[in-house]
Amino acid sequence: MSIKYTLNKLKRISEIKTANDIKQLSYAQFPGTHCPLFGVALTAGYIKDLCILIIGTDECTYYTKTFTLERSNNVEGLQDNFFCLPVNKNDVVFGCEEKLKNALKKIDEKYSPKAILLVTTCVLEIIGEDFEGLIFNIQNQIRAKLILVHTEHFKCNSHIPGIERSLEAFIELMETMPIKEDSINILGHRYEGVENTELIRLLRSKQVDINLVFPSSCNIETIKKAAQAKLNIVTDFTALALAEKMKNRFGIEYVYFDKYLSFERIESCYKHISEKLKINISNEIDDYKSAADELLHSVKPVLEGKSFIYGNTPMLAFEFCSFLCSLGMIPKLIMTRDLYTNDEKYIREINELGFDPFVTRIANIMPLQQIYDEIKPDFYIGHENPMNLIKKNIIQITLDIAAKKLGFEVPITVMKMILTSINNFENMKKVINKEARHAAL
Amino acid sequence: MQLYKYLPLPSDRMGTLWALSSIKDAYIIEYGPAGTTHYSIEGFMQMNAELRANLYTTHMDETNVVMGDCKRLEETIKEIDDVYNPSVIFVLASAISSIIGTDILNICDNLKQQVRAKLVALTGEGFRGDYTVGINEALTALALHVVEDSEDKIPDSYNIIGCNIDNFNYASDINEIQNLMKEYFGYRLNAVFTADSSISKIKEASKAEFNIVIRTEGIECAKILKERYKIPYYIGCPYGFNGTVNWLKGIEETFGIRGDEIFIKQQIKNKANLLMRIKQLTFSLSKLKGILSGNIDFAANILPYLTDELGIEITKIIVNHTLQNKSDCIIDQTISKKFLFNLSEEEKQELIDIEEPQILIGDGVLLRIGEKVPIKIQVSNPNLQQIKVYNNTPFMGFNGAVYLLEILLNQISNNYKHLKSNF
Repeated sequence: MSIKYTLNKLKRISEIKTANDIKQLSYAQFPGTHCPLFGVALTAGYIKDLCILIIGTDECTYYTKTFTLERSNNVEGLQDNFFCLPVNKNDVVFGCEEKLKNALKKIDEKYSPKAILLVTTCVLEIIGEDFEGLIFNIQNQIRAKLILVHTEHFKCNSHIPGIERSLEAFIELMETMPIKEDSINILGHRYEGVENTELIRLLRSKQVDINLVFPSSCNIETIKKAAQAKLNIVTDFTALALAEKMKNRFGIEYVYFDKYLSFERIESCYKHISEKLKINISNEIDDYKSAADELLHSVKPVLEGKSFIYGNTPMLAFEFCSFLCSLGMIPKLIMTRDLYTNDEKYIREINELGFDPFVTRIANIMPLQQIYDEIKPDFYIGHENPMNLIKKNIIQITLDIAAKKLGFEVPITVMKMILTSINNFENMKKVINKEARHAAL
Repeated sequence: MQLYKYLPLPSDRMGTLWALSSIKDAYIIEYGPAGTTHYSIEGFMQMNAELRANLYTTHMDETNVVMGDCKRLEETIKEIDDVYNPSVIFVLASAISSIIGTDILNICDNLKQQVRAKLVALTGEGFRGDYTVGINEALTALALHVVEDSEDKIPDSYNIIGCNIDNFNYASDINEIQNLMKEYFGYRLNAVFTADSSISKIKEASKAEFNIVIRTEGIECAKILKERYKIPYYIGCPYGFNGTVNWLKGIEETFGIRGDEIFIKQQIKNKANLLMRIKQLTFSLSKLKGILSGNIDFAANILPYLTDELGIEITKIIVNHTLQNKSDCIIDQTISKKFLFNLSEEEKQELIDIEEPQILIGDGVLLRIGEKVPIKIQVSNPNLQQIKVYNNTPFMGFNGAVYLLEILLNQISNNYKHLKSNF
């Protein structure tokens, strides 16, 4: 195998001005990004009284179902409310209006959902089927409210637009209502157990009413009443567009409180919330921050001077890397899907800390096998084949669990998981070395 | 209109990819949106299989779709050729590339002077038929473009054609066929088309003495290998005690080789005792009525074991695909009315309601639809949640007959009070 993949074809973080500056390491991509349809699959299964109808090729519909069937078995609060309507060659040539009408009527009659989310895929978008018109024509024959999301992948680079559009689409169900003081909506949280998060526990202890957690704990009726909240707290950037729309349509202010790692940003978000809701949470914030600070002081000496490749986490790529840089870690390569809200600020922070790593597109781990030898990182943060990494003496850190947290518990969980990963790696290495010695004997 | 609450019928493109994905050192490039590839990679897990091939996507953007710009595909092919130097690269179309009229064949033809690898274009876009059409396409392509001529034959060797990851029990069944062939004939396996195989093995398939075809979709492949390399073939699957004996005797007769009779005697010496266990356990029950589902070869070949040896009355057989391109598949007239092809989920539910089976022997979806049926044994795909990691639980062969019998004994025993009494 000749060495073909090098970092030289990439730009450094200081050169990233637009998403076009983020280059791929190779033409051939493995495994490639997920598509917006997958984003819908991640999002809509939480919503009770909703049926989701996927219209697309056998392949798109089949794999979405295998994913949602398995996920609904494993995740609390998720339902298997997805239906498939595969299209054939005739549908591609002559359109699928009648077929779709029949499918909607059948779902409406048999399952009586309060809403049906129609999801169109690449093929339908290419042939130009007019779904907006179709919904307009058929809505009066269907009891369920019809909502539409387009998920063509050839117009974007990832599944994120599928999440954003799914969330945004539900504004059509929201009704104008009198505001309930001391009540909030959580927008964008896609994990079970939101009631156990630091943020929600704190707000509830101050008698703040949680009006809606969208999408992870809601139904069509609670979505309809979303506009009665005093404040929206956006806990994932994918819900920013919805929050902005709700602000314009219903005048509801929002605080953007993502799964930040930076203590200052978390503290600032808490302060914003306390001001908007007129609650005093300063003592609690001090306690949370002290706990995080204490852990930070024990973690920093372990991580200082260690290098890393950032692959993917459920957190914000550049914000996450900025935090690790603040601990003295050295970023070698950052993989990202795109540029999102405030990324410019996080990139500047990384630069100001004295680092200028390369940046590449996410979901292409194949050429990395050669890159590892070139940059020899201590850590790989994200999903990769664990055996590939162990062979290269790289510690893998996966942080999916941290996505369920909100507040200071996010960096606390991340720091604990890093320490645990280091221990696990040392143990694995001992086992592998022992096996190698036995094999040699 | 077929609306699915569970899973639609997989397409030809999916079948092609399933057949190729299990070949180590195969290089596959998909020309389509990246999400399709990513989804399919995760889909292999549902079949308890792992991706052994090197599978890549080019991704497609609006420029590719609107302007028909294929540079992305051309560069990807050249890159894979340059970096990995594979002997063959399979280039797969997608629904999108086909709809916009991308001529994959022509692109590959134009590039053949610029790359060292042989380029094999597979144009199935997902609209030509079900997954069996794609399996057929992949197996045929391997025979046409990958197998190489060889002067040397490997004595006492054979290939298996048609053991693919979409067979629910493929890993265990390969082991069982190897076991049968070794113990009875002293023959060893040369290449498998395609589960857990490799391009280098398949290249050398012409060195085998004969081919064993275990699914209809492999017959065309076997015919090509016979025509090109003079390799004879035998079609059939060994299910049940009698079926396995007949299968071994069939191979013996077809190729004029002699097996070890002592092996068969040892394997069936407990047959009567084992079958008696079923009879004793079901003595006071009315005859077990069941529905079977799976692909045509599995269903047709396992049926005699279930009915004649285990004594189950199989009232209907649901075949999870169409009969498209299966002129080689002949179903006995006496039982052909029992076979139902590619039923919708509603039709399956109606069938269960009408037939009132006590036992379902089939795929994960049928078992889920018929969740109230007392005895449910999963033997085929689609698979909704069964995890399989142990590769010595065959359905084929003598061991498969015993293993299935054991599952059935346990299921009857555990559900006895829900079964209809004869008295």
